Amino acid sequence: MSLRAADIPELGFQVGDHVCAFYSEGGYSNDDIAVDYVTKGLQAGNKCVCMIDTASSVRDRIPGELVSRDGILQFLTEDEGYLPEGYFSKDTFIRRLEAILKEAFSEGYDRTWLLGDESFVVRNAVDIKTWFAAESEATEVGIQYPHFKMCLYNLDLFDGETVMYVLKTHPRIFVNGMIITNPHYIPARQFLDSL
Amino acid sequence: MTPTERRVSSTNDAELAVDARLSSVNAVFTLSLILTQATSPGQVMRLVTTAVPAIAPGQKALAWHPRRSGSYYERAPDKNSDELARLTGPHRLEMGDSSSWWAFPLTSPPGSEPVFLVIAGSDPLSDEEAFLLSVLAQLCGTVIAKLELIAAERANTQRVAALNAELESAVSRLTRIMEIHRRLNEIVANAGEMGIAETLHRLTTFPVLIQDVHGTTRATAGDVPGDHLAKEQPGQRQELIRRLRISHRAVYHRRAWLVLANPRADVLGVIALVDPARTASQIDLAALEYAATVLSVELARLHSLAEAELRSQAARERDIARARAADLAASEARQRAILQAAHDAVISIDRYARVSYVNSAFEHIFGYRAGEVTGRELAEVVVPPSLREAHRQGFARYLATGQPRILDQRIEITAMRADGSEFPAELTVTRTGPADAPVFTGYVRDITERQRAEQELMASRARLVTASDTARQRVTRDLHDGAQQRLVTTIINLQLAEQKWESAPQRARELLGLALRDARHGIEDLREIAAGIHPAILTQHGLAAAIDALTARLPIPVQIDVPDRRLPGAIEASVYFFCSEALTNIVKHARATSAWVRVELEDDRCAVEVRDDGIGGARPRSETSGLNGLRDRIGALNGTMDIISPATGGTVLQACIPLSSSSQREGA
Repeated sequence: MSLRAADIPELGFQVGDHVCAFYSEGGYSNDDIAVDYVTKGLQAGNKCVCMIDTASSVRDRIPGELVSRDGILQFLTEDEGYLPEGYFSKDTFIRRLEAILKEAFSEGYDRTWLLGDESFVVRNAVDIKTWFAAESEATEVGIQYPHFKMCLYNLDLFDGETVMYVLKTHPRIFVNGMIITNPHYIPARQFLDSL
Repeated sequence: MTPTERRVSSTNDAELAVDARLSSVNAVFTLSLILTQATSPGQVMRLVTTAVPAIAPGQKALAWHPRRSGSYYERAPDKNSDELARLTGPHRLEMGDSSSWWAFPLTSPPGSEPVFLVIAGSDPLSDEEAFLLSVLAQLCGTVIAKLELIAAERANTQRVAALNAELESAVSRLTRIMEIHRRLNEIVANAGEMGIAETLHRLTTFPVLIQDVHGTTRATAGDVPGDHLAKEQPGQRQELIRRLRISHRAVYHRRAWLVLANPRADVLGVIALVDPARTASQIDLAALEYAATVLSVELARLHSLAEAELRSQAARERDIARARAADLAASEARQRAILQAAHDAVISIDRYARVSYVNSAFEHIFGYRAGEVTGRELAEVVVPPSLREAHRQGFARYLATGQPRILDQRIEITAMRADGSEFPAELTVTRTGPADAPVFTGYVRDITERQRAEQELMASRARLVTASDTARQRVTRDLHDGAQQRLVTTIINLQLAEQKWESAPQRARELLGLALRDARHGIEDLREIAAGIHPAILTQHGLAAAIDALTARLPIPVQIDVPDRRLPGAIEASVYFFCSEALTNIVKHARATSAWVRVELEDDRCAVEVRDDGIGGARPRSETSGLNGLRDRIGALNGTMDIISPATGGTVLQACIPLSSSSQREGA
């Protein structure tokens, strides 16, 4: 099942949304979700910035005519997006997100489509609480710049306890082809207080 | 803290508690949504059990089954198995330790034992936690059931897809094989072994070679390398055939796939798919094996035709041989019977003039037994010594020149009997047998009797001439001495009577009387002479009347027994003169007092006997005697004559004359 990116606005994708999506082997493919999400953003003439592990395979599946401007489609490596200092820093990450959104806005894009595959957390043994503190704060980042944020979680890598953190830090969930409001979401301040 | 503050504080605590409960419910609800995206029961159970601490802090979760372990659950301890198996809802377990144990059954399909979500913690579960975990367990079971159902469906789908793919492949393969069969069958019907090779080559693109069981190439198609056309050593070939016979499938040998064409137990040939790179597919090998089957049928058909033709030819040849043998045997038997029954002596010699066969007549004529002459030189056996050298030279000359002088001709020779006596023989020689083994067969007839008969015939003819002359002379003499004298005397007496008629009438009358007497005597003499030539009474009244008249003039009594039946003239005359001559001899020489004449007529012969009671001892006195004349007369009618005349007295003359049907008809 694809993301049905063309239907995203109709599904209630709202500007400033911070959405989590889950994939696993044999189920949703992270590449399929990424291709549909980016395709929709490019079709709208928006800038797309992807921090995913499979950049080349996704790039190859994007129709070339959609890449209408230099820099409209940007892929950041794990080090460029998450670990610019060689380790994960919540503050650095948050600033990096703000910079990306600000830069896109300055470049004249109406909106920016951010996409991140968070498997790097497991690979790099990032502290769960640190990461989800960053996730919780990210919901509030760049609200002055129109954008969408989607975080991809591999259910084969993360356990139930981690999933519960994901649900607490993302106000909206992409599940079963739909974006729904997450009843288990905890506002950032409350969440950070609970840590 | 004032009461108000306490009331506010209490209100805040209550709100927080409600928020916490709602958060837990939301957590279970949201987690259940996420679980719907899990892809395996193990993933579901892992997410659930690891999420439990977030839902019920201080608790850990396990997945147990009462009876067994599985991919996402463990087997419960034996002491809890029966207890778990009986549970239908949440239940606290007594594990015998200080922890609090709860079991929550997962929703499961009807009729199956559920898996349990087992929660253990140092603190007992609150009612809210137990409720949430019960809900979570049921949601978990529902998701797992759905996944298992999906997995089963997927497996079914995959199985169906696999079956479809297999079926499609099988259909494709069958279609291909049917095409192979069709093409090969069409070709076999039209083009035989070469057609099989060409078709298999076109179907597989590999060079094709068909050999007989000994390795001799019968047909090729495609570019067959030369070393494949070379024959193997007989021992190697036999070993290869043995391997192929055992395998029943294509065997890779000398960079080619080989299959036997062996209908029934016979090995008729080998068909090879030359494949140096060993890239032939199963379809190619199937084509090869079917081509071998088709080749088997074709070779069996040719073999049967050849066998049938051979059987037919052998039967024909056998029939012909039997017929020839039968003919030959019959011919030989017939020939041998003919030769054995032949009156002529038959003697065969080989190219060395050695006797190889004689018949019974040879033994009779030459006085040898067959065993005495077989293998001996012909000249020593039958050729008189004075003629042997000439005979040998003539035989050698013929063998040297091939120019025959006596072959297939009838010649008269002088032969020699076993006792050394010589005899005249008539010889005819024929040649038979192949050129390098000729057989000469002589047919020898003893012509002693024939020559004697010829001599007798010549003598008889001479006697007839003599008798005829004598008879003419006698008639002349009788006419001169008898009738002529009486007629002369009659004329003289008539002339004297005429002269005396006037002068002496009495004398004239006496002379007339004498003339009349002499005339009468003359007539009687003429009658006698005429009777000696052919009596008129015989012609007019037959044999019985003629003999009766003949005997009437004889001076002795004759008893007659002659049938009154007419016979052919020649026979009546011969019998009449036979009886006349015999009776004359009786009157003249036998001094007999009585005589008898008897004639008997049978169907095919006439027997005549004239007998007397005289002195006997009668012998023909000369070649011209009357008896020899009679013998000639009787012999002229193929009859025989015998004289029985002992010196003691009495003579019997017997004659036997054959009566031919023609002579009988003539007589009738």
